[in-house]
Amino acid sequence: MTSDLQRQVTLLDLVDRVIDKGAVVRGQVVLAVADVDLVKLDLNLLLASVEALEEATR
Amino acid sequence: MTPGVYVYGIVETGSLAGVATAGIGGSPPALLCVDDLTAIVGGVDVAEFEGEALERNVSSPEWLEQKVRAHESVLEDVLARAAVVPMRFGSIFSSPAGLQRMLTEHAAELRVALAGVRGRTEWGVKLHCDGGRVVESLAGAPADPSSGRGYLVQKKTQLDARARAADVAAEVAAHAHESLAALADEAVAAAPRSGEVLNGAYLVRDEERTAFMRRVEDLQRSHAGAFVFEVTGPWPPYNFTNADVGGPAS
Repeated sequence: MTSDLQRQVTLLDLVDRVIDKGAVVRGQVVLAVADVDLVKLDLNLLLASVEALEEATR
Repeated sequence: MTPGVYVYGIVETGSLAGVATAGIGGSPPALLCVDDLTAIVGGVDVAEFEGEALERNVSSPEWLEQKVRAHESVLEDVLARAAVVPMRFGSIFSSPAGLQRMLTEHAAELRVALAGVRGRTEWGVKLHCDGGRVVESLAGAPADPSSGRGYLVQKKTQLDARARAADVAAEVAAHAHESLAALADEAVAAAPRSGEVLNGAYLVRDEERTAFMRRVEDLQRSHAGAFVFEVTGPWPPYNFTNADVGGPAS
């Protein structure tokens, strides 16, 4: 199924979904300490970086 | 090097034999099954995703793009063959045991999430609007600006058109979203980025895909000129499985 209106996926499209959406495990807090199972990923840091990237590519 | 278990997504056990696409760490992911649920997992170095190293890494567009694309490539490969609950980027467990515990504790929510996306994929539709062309089409043919009165009439018409243009664009966007949502199981409209008037995501049943695409094309035909529709997909259902599936409290 293709359409002329379909276009290539950009990094921003990806980031909007991959970083911003998707199932999460207890918010974004993913801490690898003692009995906590997940590794912390500072989402705000990532989003700030993506916004900077967006500005730069405009 | 601190080994961690990166989770891409969750599928039903048996729906997927394996994944050949290279993942975040460079090698293809493995499957970790707990009863009827299977996690698609890969080994990563946790140190890359923590503290100052993470700060350094995410400020490098190359690092970010490579990792995000790897996450998406794995899930697109999976999506072509099985219903999947996509995890958010950076879901990393410190041990397989921790992941197994999460799958056991949250089996019920994950089953519900899987049932909700089986036989469906996500589609993105963006609507771009050229504000100047909307104003032009509203203002119509310019009055003769050489006469003083003609100039004033034209100025007034343009100001009116400019004031109405935003409303017209919002109406077109709302109508498009409603019309597309009617063909989808679920729909969400995110905040439009600059130049956009609609940034929608739609969960579409496989059997409705052709009708959905045709609807976007019809919308484009009815709003040719100032409006441009753009479609991306099929996506793993990121926008429709964004529930918090629990995990250890922090």
